[in-house]
This record gives sequence, structure tokens and C-alpha cells, in this order.
Amino acid sequence: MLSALIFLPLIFGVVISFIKSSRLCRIWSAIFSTVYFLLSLSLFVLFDSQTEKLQLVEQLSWFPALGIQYFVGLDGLSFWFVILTAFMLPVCVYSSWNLVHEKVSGFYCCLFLMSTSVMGTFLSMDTVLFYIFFESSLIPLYFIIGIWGGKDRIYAAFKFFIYTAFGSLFLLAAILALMHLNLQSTGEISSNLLDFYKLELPFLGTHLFSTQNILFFCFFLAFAIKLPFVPFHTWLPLAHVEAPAPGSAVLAAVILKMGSYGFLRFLLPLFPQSVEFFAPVISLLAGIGIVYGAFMALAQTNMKKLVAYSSVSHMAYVLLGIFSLNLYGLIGGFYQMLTHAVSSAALFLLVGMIYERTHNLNILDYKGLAKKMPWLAIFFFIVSLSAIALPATGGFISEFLILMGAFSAKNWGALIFGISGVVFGAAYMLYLIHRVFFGSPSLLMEKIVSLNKREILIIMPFVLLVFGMGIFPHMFLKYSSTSLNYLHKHKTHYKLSIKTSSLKKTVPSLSNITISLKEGEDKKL
Amino acid sequence: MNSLILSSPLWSLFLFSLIPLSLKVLNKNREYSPFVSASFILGGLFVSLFLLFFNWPEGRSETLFSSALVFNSTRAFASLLLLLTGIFVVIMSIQHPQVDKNRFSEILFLKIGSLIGLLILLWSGNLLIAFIGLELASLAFYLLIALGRTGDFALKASFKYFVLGSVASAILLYGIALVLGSTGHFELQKMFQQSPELITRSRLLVLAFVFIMVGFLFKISIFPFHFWLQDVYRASFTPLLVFMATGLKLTIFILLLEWTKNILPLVELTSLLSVFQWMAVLSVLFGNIIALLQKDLKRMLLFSTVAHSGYLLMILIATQNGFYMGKAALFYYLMVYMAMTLGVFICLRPFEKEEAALSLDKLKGLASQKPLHAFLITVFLLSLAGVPPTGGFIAKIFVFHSLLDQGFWWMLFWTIIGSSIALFYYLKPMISMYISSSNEKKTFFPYFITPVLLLLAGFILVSGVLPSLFYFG
Repeated sequence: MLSALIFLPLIFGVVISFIKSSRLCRIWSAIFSTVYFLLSLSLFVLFDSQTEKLQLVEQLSWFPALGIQYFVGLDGLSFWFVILTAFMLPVCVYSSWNLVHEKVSGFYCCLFLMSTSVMGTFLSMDTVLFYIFFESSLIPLYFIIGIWGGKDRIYAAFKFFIYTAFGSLFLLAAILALMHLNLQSTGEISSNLLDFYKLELPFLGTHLFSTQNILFFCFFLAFAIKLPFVPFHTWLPLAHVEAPAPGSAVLAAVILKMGSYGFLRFLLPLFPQSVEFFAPVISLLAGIGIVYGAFMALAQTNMKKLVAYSSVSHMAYVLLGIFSLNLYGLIGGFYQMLTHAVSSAALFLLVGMIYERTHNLNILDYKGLAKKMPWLAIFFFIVSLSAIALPATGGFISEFLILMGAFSAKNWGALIFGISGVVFGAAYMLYLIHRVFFGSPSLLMEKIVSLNKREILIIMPFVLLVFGMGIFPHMFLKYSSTSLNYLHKHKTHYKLSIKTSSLKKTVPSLSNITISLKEGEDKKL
Repeated sequence: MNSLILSSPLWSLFLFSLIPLSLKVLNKNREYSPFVSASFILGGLFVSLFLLFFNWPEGRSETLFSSALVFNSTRAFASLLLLLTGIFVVIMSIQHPQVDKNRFSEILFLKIGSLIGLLILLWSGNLLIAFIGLELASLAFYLLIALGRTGDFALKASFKYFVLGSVASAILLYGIALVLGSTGHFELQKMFQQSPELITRSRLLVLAFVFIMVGFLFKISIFPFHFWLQDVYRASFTPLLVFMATGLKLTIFILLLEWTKNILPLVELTSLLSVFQWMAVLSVLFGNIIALLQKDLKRMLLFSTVAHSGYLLMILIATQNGFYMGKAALFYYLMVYMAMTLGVFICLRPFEKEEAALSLDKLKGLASQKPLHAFLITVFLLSLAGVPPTGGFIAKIFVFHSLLDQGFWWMLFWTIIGSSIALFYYLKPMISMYISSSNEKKTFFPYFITPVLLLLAGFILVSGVLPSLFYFG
């Protein structure tokens, strides 16, 4: 099942790249992506939310010489991201219907390849496999920005690739170091994440360069760049501005979440002492990031850039929540990932719809858009409410929980920043709405047409989700709370096991097929 | 007699390489079609491959001609790779715009001559034979560079390379003489089996070791012996460059793997070890930095091969220091490296003109004209940069793993820095291809090139997705 979710888009992407007609391309992509999303919904039935254990596990030996396995599994931490990724695929396909005109099949191919790699990132339980998916998600997005992007796309794609790939190299080194430590302690080479959880990494009190701290830094760097954490964020606004609207949406909704997911999956359980040691510093930095992102957003005149900086600010909340190291913060941070995915993806899509009509993103050129596009104005307003964290929207729940977490952790500095960040957040969103939607329509607005049915259809689920997440948070959190609780309770000795019903007794091996070139040699796992 | 049979790949190769040349002489010194000449040479290479399989040693170690040549499975496998490289290079040079059409037979003959030299070097059982093999190959290279292009430029470059190469050879020969002087024979293996304590005491032998290493490292352009690349690049034609970057490198790395496994553990060379480590690290750093500064695509790729030499040297050092999967890792890296280097240079072929320079702008808009070829170049470049899911990624894992296994943390750090520099410049051609489209001129890929490229790119993808297939541990 999980392998199907990972590799179906890949297969389909390859098939679609051979279709010449752009109309056929769009139709088939739409059909496929919808079916794919419906398929992913079957996880609601298959997934058992009562246990923190890994489910629907598929395990194959892939490269025995280095102990790398093809090992995918689902648990509460990854469940929502999988659904989210599958959900973003049809959204992107529908929203790019009239946007992309040249090399249509290539665009959809990139979109599907990206879906494969992102899905693989969230599902893989083997660190090297995780790295492979994590890193290969760069290539399709690089092309999406670079080929179908705006004016400055080349530079943006370049910067995006370099920044994230640079961080990933440290991640790769740290993963290999963990494999090496595992080899030393158990005598068996493995890159299985579950084995790594069992490792006791030396942490020498306040000594800065203990093994655990160094590895923590490597992982932190990679995920912080992806998140993006404030000193490393400069690639994001650029990439967002230049990417086409579906690219921006998927970047905000899914790619950034790969970074924050990495924090939950790797940093907290693998390096508990380091996390605790650095938590105050990182919380403070996250607080600064919140305010910095908000201020930068206030200063922007480009709509997409404003939304991008709001993304920086909101993702810093995630970090603030996670590093409060209590249950409120953890759940709040997790929920913030989901609400941010929904609200910022919707904002980017809406901005993209405006851009499609006027090819102008300068806020100062707009006035009175609400008169011309009432539906868009309403949707924009609703989604912004979630971004400002107004009660009854998802954003409220998550930011409230995060601030409560920071309060219980007594991170006063970070707390002050966090609270003021909420205020600034309201300021820049309302500023945007005020400038763009109110007043009498400017000259630019004359020929503008209102949203069509397709566009309303795209935005509708987001609007419903904004309210749904605000009013029934439990419906969403119940799939992940067991895992999050477990992660919190077993902070220092986190061990994940595989749910027995889905565990096969013997691990089948790919190498049985492949090793036949070399006869007479017995390869064991 | 057994020796003659075992060395038959060499003989057959030599005989076949004579055919185009004799035909040319019989045809009143006029060239036949390049396809005719090349097909004889390719036939010779395939016959050689067949003979190699026929004589495959399978775990045994055979000595030929009273232990002048040694033939075992490692060397046989390396010979296989070398012959395959030869096949690709010969296919590449058919109708290549930089190869002189009127001297095609001679060029093929010399190329096969250098290949035979490399095979002798690869199989050599003692230092003297190694020297002969290396000189045979080098002489062919000097001549090939001189034949490269009309004008005195080629002559100048050839002479420069000749002088530098001879100095390196002289240093190598001096090292060999020192070995002979202090032990009484040329055979490294025997020497280390018989008198380990002699070696640990003898400073002279350490000196000899250094000299021999310098002689070899010069040929594979390890920092600080990389400076000759520039001249050779400007003078010679691309197929030759590629052959030097792949065949020569493969041979010397495998030879060093075979020879130094007995040396590093025995001789107290800890200070020397750090010298070699620094050489590897600086090769990676300098190769990447110099490549980053280039505006010329071919020169950029050429300097990136210096960095790859550095990675290979890292695996080699870790292997000789006790890295448990060393040999298989080195072979894996070499295979992937050869495939991607050959692939990316073959891809450049339609853009090449008489002169050496090849600006990055030439690639502009390739993706809209030839999507398949643009995709193939992308695969090669991503593999060179070590991005999954290509073979280059697994190769990079091996480099990192070898360094970690031996506890060379500081080398790992510099390697990461070097690799991230590499990302910058490998992206540049990709940007040109996919993004800008101003080039109106039609790009033409000869029909016999595309299947070769597909084969190489397929290998790179398969080795990245199913690495167990090509890991011979």
C-alpha cells in the first residue's frame, strides 16, 4: 500500500512525459491525481490511531553491503503529512490548468516526481532511504522553479538548490556517522532508523563538541535550512516569488514540512540530551525568527514575498513549539505544521489566481479588488484569519498551544517574541487585505474577471479545512496524538517498534535476485 | 605457452591495431572511411574482451613470463573496464570534429598502443615492467597530443607535457633504482614478504616509496601535480582527454591498490600518510574551486576530474589503512566515475569545434531541441554532483563511509565543503540547457552516439537504484 503511494506518481509521471498533447496531459493528470488522493484516503481505514507503533510496514533488503533497507512504515507522526502530500497533488494539477502553457507534460512529470520523493521522505524508516527521497525532491522542484518560474527564476532555483543541498550533505555525513556508531556498538551495519533509536550517543555534559552535539548540529542544519530557520531562510522568499503558484503552494505545504517533520522524527528521539541542552537557545532564536519574519513581511510590497515571509514567521512557531519540550508545545508545533500548510498553500494559490489575471504582484498597484473579485476576497479573508490565528480557525489552536508550551517551559524571551509575533502577524495580513481589497478599484482592476468554478473548487476544501481544523481539532489530532504522547513521554529513551500484525516473519531480500551474478557467495542481511 | 595464452588479449589487440594502418599504407597512404578503421579496432577490442573472459582467473593468481606479469581477478576486472573504456573512446572519436581525418588510422593505432601500455602497467608484476608499461602509454600520449591539431600549438603543448612527464618518469625510475639498490630486486610483493623488518628500518626505501608515488600521482593529476591538465586541454582532442581521465586513472588506482596494500601497514609511514591525506583533501578542494571559476565547460569538467581523483585517493588511503569494504568500494566508484565522465564528454560532442574552448552558452536551449539528450546530460551531471538516485550518490556514500570507518573526521569535513562547492558548477550547464533558449542553431547528435549514451546513463541510474548489482564485495 505505502509503496503504491510512493511509486504510483513516479510511474505515472514517466508515462505522462510521453504524451504530446497538452490537453490530454491535463485531463489524464487530473484523473490520476484525483484517484491517487482517493486512494490515500483509504489510510483512514487502514491506519490504527490507537498505537504509536509503525504500521503497514514494508521491509526489503536493498543494499546489504551497507545495511540499507527499503523500509517504509506509517505512524502518527507521518500520517497527516502523507494525506497532505496526496491532497496537494490534485490541487496543484487543477490550479495549473491555465497557468502552464509550454512543456505541459514536463511540468506534470516534475509534479508527480516531486510527489514521489516527498511521499517517500515522509514514509521511509531507513535513514539512507530517507536521505535519498529528501534530496531527490530538490531536482523536480528545481526544474519547476527554473523552467516555469518568473523573471528571476534561474537565480532563485540555483539558490534554492544550493542552500538545501548544502545542508543535506551534513545530514548525509551525520547519517553515515550514526551507521558507523551503530556498527561499533552492535557489530552490524545498518541504516535502520529503529536501530538508531536504540543507540546511546555520548553526551558529555556541557562539553560543546561531544558526539551527540556534533551530530545534532548536522541534523539541525539540514532541517533548519529546509524549515527555514531564520539565518538560513533567504532562499525561501526568492523561491516562492519566482515559482509558479502550484510550485509555491506545494513548497509551502509540503516541502517545508519535510524540515519540521525531520525535527520530530530525528532530532527529538535521537539526540534527547542535546535537544534539552540547546532548547533555550533555539527557542529564543525561533522567537526572533517569528518577529523577524513578521517585520520583513510588513516591509514587503510584493504580495508573494509578503506571504513567503509570513511563512518564515509561522514555521518559526513550529520550532518554538517543538523546543518547548512539553506536550502542549509538541502538539501545538505539530498542529501548526498542518494549519500552516493549509493556510499558506491557500494564500499562495489565491495570490497566484490574482497574478494569473494581472501579472502584477505589487501591492501598491492594487486597490478595491473586492469589488471585482468578491469570492476571492472572501476566501482570502477567511484564510488570512487562520494565518492571524483568530479563534475558530486552525491557526488559533496551534499558536495558542505553542504559546502555552512556551509559557510552561518558562521561555520568557521566546514567549514575548511569540506573542508579539501574533500581533505583527495580524498587522501585515490586515495591511495586505486593506491595501489590496478595499477602496475603489484602481485602473489595473478594470478587465479583471471573478473566480471561475474550477478556482472556487480548488479553494473550497482549504476554506473548509481552515474552519474544520479550528472547530474540531480533535478530529485531526486523534490520528497523531498517540504518537506525539509517546514521543513526549519517552523523550530520553524513545523506541519505536513495528506493529506485530504487519510484521512479516522473515525479511525478504532484493539481493536474492540481484546477487545471482556472483555465484556461490552467501549474502545475508 | 600458458603465458602466451594468458596474455593473448594484449597480442590480439596489437595485431588488430595494425590492420587500419596497413590498409592505409596499401591504399597509397589514403584513409578509408573512419567507420572501416574503427570497426577493425572495435573488433580487436571485442576479441580482446572475449579472450579476457576466456582466460578469466576466477580467484587464482597467475604469473606470466617468469613473474613479469601477474594476472588475478582484480586485474582482470580492471582490464575489462579498461577495454570497455577503449571501446567507448574509439566510438567517440569516429568523425569527431577535433580528430584529424587524414590521420585517423595513426591516431587509432596510437590509442590502442597506449591502451596496451596501460594493460601492461595494470598486469605488471614488478616495478620495471610497470615502468615500461607506463612509458609505452605515455609515449603514445605525447604523440597523440602532438597529432592533435594543426599548428605549432599542439607541438608546444605536447613538448611541455613531454618534459613534465619525463621528469615524473625520471623520479619514478629513481625510486625504482632505490628499491633495486636497497633490496636487490624489482619485485615489490616479494620484497615485503621476505624482509619486513628491513623496510621498517630503511629510510632509503621510504624515499623510494615517495618517489614512486610521485611518479604515479603525477599521471593521475592529484594536487599538486595537476598543472599539466591545462596545457593538454588546450592542445589535445576530447577523446584523448577522456581516455586520459578515465583509462589512465583506473589503471593507476588499481595498481596502487594492488601494490600498496603491503606497504602502508608495514612501513611506519604515519607522517607520510598525512601527506597523502592532505593531497587527497586538497585535490578535492582545489579541483572543485578551480572548476568553479571556469567559464569554459570542458575545462570545468576537466578540473572536476581532479576532485574525483581526490575522492578516489581518499577511498584508496582508507582501504590501505584497513577499510573493510575498500576494494569493492573503489571499483564501484571507478565504474560509476568512468561511466559518467565518458557520458558527459560524449554528450558535448555536437558542440565541439576545431578549437578547444567550449563555452557554457553553447548548451543554451538544448532541452527544447533535444529533450532526450538534455535529460541524459542532466543524469550525468547529477551523478557527478552525487545527487540521488544516481550511481554518483552511492559512490559518495562510499567515500564518506570510508573516511568515517577510519576515523578521518577532518577529511570528511573538507570533503563536504568540497562537494558543496561542486554543486554550484554542476548546476550551471543544467541551467543553460533547460532555462535559457536563445540558440537557434540545430544541434546534431550522430546516430551511433545516442545508444552509447543511453547505455551509460542507464548504467548510472541502475547502479544508483540497485547498487547491489555492481557491488562486488
